[in-house]
Amino acid sequence: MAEERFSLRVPAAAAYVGTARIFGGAIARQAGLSEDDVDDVKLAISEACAAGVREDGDGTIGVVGERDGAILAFEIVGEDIPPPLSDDLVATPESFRRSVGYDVIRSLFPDAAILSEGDRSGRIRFAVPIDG
Amino acid sequence: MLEVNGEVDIYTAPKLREKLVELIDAGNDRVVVDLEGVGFMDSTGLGSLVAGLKRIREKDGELAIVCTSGPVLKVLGITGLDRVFPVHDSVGSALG
Repeated sequence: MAEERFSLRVPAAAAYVGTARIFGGAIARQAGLSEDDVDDVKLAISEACAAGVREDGDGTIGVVGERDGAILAFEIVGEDIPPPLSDDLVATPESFRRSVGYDVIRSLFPDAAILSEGDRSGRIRFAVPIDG
Repeated sequence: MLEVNGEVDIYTAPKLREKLVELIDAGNDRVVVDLEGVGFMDSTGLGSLVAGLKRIREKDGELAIVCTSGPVLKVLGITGLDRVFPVHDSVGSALG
């Protein structure tokens, strides 16, 4: 059981990605992460939420931050977060955009997991160690 | 020159792309994008800059960036775009 758990659910629309980013940044800052780490969390959440944005704005994106001991873990869940591109698939501009976003998340957090249930519904998880 | 302020993400990036296209299509073949007022940018913002770069290169033009913000430089570095765009630390340097 996590010591602290924060969650937010927003519409899967571009206008709400900033809200999710501020939410994640606040959790990271409150946990005592450095400003560089807070920036990384905000960037990863922005990329993850952007992957879940739908043009029609239908559906939701959930952001959960959990602190457990010296680990701060985030999970972003969306009905429209597709799996990473397979090499044998032809990229559309949209899938390529998401793919770049996933690469950014993995660069920031090499242990990040992008998990899919079927073609669309998915979740993105990453964790940050809390110093001190 | 295009001065950008605030945060550039999936919501605001289309506006950046639109402004760049406007400037380039108006005949400007040397565009400087001043990102000094940008505190946050993700890969969707970079996508707009890349779209501008492609468009201006079709006209044999140049697009340069002014940026000293840590978070923006970081995403440019992660994606390797710091090697694609000329990145300057001041408007004077970009225009000079």
